[in-house]
Amino acid sequence: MNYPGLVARAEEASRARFPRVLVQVGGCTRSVGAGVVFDSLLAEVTKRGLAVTVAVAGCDGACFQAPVVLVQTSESETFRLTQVEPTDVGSIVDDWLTTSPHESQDWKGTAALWPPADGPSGFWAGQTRLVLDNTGRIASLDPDDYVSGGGYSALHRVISSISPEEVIDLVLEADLRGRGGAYFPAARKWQGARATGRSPRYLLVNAEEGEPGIYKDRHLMEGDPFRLLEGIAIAAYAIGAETVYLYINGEANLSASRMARALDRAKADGLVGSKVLDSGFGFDIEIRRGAGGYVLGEESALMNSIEGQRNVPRTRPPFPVESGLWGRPTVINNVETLCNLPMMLAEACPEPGRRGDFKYAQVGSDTARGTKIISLSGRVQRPGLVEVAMGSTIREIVYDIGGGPPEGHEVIGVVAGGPSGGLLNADMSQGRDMLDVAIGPGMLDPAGAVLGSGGITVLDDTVSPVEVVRRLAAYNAEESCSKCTPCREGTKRMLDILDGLVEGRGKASDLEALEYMSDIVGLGSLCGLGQMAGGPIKSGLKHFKEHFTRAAG
Amino acid sequence: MDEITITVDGQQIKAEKDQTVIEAAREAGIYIPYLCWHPTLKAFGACRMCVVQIENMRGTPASCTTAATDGMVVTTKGPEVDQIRHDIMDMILSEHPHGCLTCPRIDHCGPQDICLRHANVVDRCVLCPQNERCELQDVVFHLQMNDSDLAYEYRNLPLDTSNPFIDHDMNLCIVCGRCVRACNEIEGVDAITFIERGDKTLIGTSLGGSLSDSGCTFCGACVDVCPVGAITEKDHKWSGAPERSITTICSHCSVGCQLELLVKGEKVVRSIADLSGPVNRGNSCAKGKFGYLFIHSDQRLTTPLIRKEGALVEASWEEALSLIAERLAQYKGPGFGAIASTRATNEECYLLQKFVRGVMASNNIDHRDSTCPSESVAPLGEMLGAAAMTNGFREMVDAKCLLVVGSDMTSDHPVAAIQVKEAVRQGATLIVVDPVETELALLATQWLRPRPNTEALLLAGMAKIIVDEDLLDQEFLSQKCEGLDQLKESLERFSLDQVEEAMGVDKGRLVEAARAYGTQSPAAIFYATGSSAQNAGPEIAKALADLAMLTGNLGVPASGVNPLRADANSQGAADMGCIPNTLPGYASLAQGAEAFGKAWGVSLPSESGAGYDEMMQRARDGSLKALLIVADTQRVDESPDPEALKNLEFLVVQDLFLTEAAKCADVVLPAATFAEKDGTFTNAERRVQKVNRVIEPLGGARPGWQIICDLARRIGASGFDYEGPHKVMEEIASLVPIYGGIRHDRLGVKGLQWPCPSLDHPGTPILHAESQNIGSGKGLLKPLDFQPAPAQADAEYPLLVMASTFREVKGVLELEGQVIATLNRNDAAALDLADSDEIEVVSKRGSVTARARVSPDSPVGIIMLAYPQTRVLVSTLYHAPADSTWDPTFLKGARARAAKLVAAGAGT
Ligand SMILES: Cc1cc2nc3c(=O)[nH]c(=O)nc-3n(C[C@H](O)[C@H](O)[C@H](O)COP(=O)(O)O)c2cc1C
Ligand code: SF4
Ligand code: SF4
Ligand code: SF4
Ligand code: SF4
Ligand code: SF4
Ligand code: FES
Repeated sequence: MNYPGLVARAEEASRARFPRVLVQVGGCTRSVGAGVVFDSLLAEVTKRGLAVTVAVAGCDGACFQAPVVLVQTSESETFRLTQVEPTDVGSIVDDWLTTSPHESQDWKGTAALWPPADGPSGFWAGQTRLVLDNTGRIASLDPDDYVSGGGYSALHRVISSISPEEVIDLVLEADLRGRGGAYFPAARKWQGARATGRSPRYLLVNAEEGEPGIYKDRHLMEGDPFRLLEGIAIAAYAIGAETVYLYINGEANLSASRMARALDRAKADGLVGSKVLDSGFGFDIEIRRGAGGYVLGEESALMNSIEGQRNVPRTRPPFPVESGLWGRPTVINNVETLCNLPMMLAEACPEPGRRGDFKYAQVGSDTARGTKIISLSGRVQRPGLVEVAMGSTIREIVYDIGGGPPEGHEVIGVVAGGPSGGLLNADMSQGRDMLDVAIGPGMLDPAGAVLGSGGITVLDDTVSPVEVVRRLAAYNAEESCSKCTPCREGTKRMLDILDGLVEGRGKASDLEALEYMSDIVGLGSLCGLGQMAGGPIKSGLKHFKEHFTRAAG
Repeated sequence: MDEITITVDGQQIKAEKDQTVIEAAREAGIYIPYLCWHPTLKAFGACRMCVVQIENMRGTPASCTTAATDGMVVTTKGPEVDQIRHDIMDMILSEHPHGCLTCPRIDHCGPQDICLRHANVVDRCVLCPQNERCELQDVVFHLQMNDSDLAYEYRNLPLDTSNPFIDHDMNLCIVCGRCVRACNEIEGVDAITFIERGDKTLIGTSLGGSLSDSGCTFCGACVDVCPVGAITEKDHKWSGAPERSITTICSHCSVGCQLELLVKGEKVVRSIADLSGPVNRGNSCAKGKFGYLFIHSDQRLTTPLIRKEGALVEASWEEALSLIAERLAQYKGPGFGAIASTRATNEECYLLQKFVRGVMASNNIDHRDSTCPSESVAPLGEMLGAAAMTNGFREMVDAKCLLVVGSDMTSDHPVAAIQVKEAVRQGATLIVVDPVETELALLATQWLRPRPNTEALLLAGMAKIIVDEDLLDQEFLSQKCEGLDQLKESLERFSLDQVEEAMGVDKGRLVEAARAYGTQSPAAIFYATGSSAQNAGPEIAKALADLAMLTGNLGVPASGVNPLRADANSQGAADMGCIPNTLPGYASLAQGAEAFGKAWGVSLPSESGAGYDEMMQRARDGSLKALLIVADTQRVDESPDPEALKNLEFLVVQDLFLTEAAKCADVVLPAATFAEKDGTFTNAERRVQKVNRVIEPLGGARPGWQIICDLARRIGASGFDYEGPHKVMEEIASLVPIYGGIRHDRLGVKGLQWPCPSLDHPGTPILHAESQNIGSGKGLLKPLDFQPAPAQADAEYPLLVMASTFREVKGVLELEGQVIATLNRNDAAALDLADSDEIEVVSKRGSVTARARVSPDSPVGIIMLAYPQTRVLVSTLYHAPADSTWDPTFLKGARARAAKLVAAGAGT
């Protein structure tokens, strides 16, 4: 189908779409009963013979309010009901679907109009939701819903009027950097692969997301799968990739099944295949699955896994853009990176205010453009998945969006970047309060903290930083693929020392040994896991010195 | 080749583009310590021992994975990298015994000495098989590590000593991954792999069972690369560091691998595949790796034996040789014959036939080849001008289509099979034509399984399809070949239906195979005829040469017609004229008698000579009276029929062991093995390579060339005084044009492939490549006749034995260790045998017990014996070769009967 055809079909469909109930069912909210809510609602609506659409959406990120149900009475009116339980199904149908509802109506959780607004600083107001725009708001697997929100306009524009080289220039200019953690300019990789002049070329979409506490890519795949497909199509066009491998974490079954179904729809609609949007451009997507732990997310280990080899990183050079999958030029991009593309490249916008006049470069700071999805967890009142402009401070994220620590407690710091990142402290001991650090590519602090894939875990006074560091070190030791000596042996030995500290067997020389070994493992290791494994330890030692000294005492 | 310059530690060195920093430095003699890197393997970048500093590069890159670029400035030493290396080594040593490693007394301490440091026994190098030849030790010494401050904890893992060749002690593993990569990159088997994760990672088998269960071929590649004592040879495990090492050529098969034999105390203690070997480049098979033990077998003959009053008794050389000289003088003429060894050197083969023809005035000389007898190669001489492989082994990875006929390559020519398997991995089509189930058959894109003895028909059918479907290379045919019309005519005389009917393979599949061979190029043919096609060898060769000419698959790399002769010097034996009626260099008696006679100062006998079979026949009927058998029996005893030998008036056997034939002899002469003499072997791809003496001959054994010269002189012949084998080669070169440019001192490590007509000729890797001519004129296509195989009825021995080996895989074949006899269900019914019966297979030569497997697919009239691979290897490599009942070749090709074994006591 061509683009106008898609738009016409979407218009048609949108007339029959409302009233509609969207149940936000995601990998995480399923554990709190969202799936059952969906089933019961569907059964109830069917039983009563109501002309109401019941559909699944992704989770909108407010994990602390899950399960969430959206009641859409018309295209312009949506109510957001939180903390829904299966037993609430009857009252939802009675009070919100069969009568005209209003915002201040009684609801045990919060009930609000969408988009939610909660004052100048709050979970919603603090965010800049560009990539997460659709997530939770649209029916995940309804392509028409996606098109109604401007979907595929960018792909249409790109294919019909921009050459691949120009796409690369545009994206370079916008300075889109990889959201998988390394922040390498995405289009630079595309350019590199094109420049080899060799084909076939591959695009490998990294949806492994094995880092603990990170769930952004899953949210995107569950809540807005067509956006990822559109992003993939644009990148494949720019790269000239014939085949795209979408590698989804072996445990992310919901993401995989939604992507598979979305892919089927997209193929049926002619968005993936030999003639994309009836143009001369064609490509194909294959979904691959695999389980293999944290290091599998490292791009060269991922390639080994696809080739059926052991999941261990490869040496570089050669770089993947020159010699990747089966020795062919291969670009590896993260899910979030690709999900940025549709809104960056869309021009015509059917829904003014959201897309058309948007300039990616206007968001964020000079050194860091755009937004970043943050997985906020730990000792904070409103944990969840949030999207903020680059350059926001950690304080804004923790306090404004996250609502600060639980009542009566005090934030002592955060872990930024998970096991490959580091700790930041919340006091003035380093001359400045580290919570005022602005997020962006590169190191947030030379001792270890990074933005990485966007994990921020809040520590408060109930937590022992030494124990936190030990846990991160244990994770690295466990996940070391054991290919290279420093990481295999070093992570284990550092863990041994940290175990001693936690269990009261510490001695004064331990701290020095830890510091030293962190450096050696960092310098000597082959891949990012080992190179960054010292981060939590070094930053812990730097920012929580008294805790460690006490433990070593 | 692009040359670049880099600076290493202030020194400017030249490097090639694409070289890594460590390679460039190593070639310039600058040592950078390394553990996971190995010259035969792809860089892995795991141990991080090779870190260096490079200007304008961040951190400390690993030199084994960093490409050298022009103008690069590298520092390999200095406080920072030293510190990293020390620290990494510290980590390794915390998991590895290091009691001795950091002890200054290590060089003086022996295993029995009391350790002054009270190091635990499991913590001591002096108690490790790798001591003195350990790469980890070398690196530790290089780093000048003093004490390691980390405590060592013994892993306490059980050793795996369950197979006869290789021991695993994972307590010593440093997880460098070399073995795993060797198994994958070199042997392509993936028998071993990393197991577990994190710091528990070690090496284990892929399937979790024993090595042989996991498909290990015992090629030994993993042993050769393991830097520590974690993977070691079982034999000579404790022999320590060798005193010297000498490179020579493997004496087993015709692939011609170069092996480095390591010697300690005049004993060969280890064999390592040589990296510079032009054919094997660091590969070997189990035979080459472990099959050197026969050299020091206590069964070796070490003194001449003479028959006195019916018994063989020890004698001096003087006594033995003068007796032979005296007796042989009476048998000059056609009453005398000789059989040459396919493991003797070219020089020895040449001298033997010179002796037979020039001194004994007889043309009765032949050699025997168990996989591809010379008759099966001769048609190539006639049709293509050279009776040998047209192409080489290494290039076969590039073939797009491979047609393998009748050859169990993975077991008979293992290192050549690696290229075939690699080609298949890279997408080549593999067509196997074989009644026997071989490893390649199972791997093949198409396995065509004709009835035994109908291979030639099948190939004629392929030729017919290629002609009918016009898959011909017209240009090649018109420019380079003749005889197309006659061939076409012959193909019209039969139909595909007749072929199908006779050979029993669906003709649709034949069409597919013919198309694959006819349309993909380059397409190469490998063949052997010894396993099933008993008398049809020449027919097979003819059909194959026709196929190659029809499709123009000649003269380009990875193509051609390539016979796989069995033994290390089968090719050389034929080249040197150890075939009846053919002089050295394939000159016919008529063409060459004068020139050779003149050179040798004799007139050569004119009546035609007898080949092996005919000599045996003549021995039986009494017209052959005296026979000299030169054999170098290393594995199975392939002695001729003792009945025939006993009928001779005088029999001399020169061999390594007291074989069945030797037991019949009047005089037995102890010969030196390949490791005890100098000379040359010519491998199947016509490569003449230097065989080097590694040790002195054992006991009273003498090299064959000396024996024959001594004997000739005693009979009063002249022209047998040579300073050494190199002089013999000079004489060969002067008489044999294809060896014209061969001299020992020209051979170097790469050898020379004949034809090599002059001293400045570089040898000929691929035949028919440039010249317009094939051979001396045009390639000669030959008509292919359709002759359905005659039904061979033998009431007493109704079955034909075929043999193959299988890899033991528990669960798949639970009958571990047993011979499996597969036969067609109709044959089984006729013999009253049921599946799983324990049966006895009896031939004239002996018997074997086996477990019956009844199958509907197995060809009628055949009993297929499959022997467990490890057993075969053990028996053929370890025991004195006299009665290797475990070897499949023992009964191969024999006719046999089979009957159920009746358990003792049953029926009472
Ligand atoms: C130990 C380790 C784990 C990683 N895990 C992931 C992951 O789960 N997802 C991801 O996108 N990138 C991961 N990366 C980064 C990838 O190697 C790669 O840089 C990224 O996928 C490139 O995509 P981008 O340029 O779009 O960020 C990981 C890197 C390391 C060293
Ligand atoms: S740094 Fe660690 S995870 Fe990475 S390759 Fe080395 S051992 Fe594997
Ligand atoms: S492997 Fe090497 S370092 Fe280890 S104990 Fe044996 S000899 Fe010593
Ligand atoms: S002997 Fe050869 S096949 Fe067996 S494990 Fe070692 S490398 Fe692999
Ligand atoms: S067994 Fe030897 S070669 Fe294999 S990983 Fe261990 S130390 Fe390395
Ligand atoms: S392939 Fe042949 S030549 Fe090579 S090692 Fe094995 S037996 Fe020897
Ligand atoms: S030798 Fe370079 S990393 Fe091991």
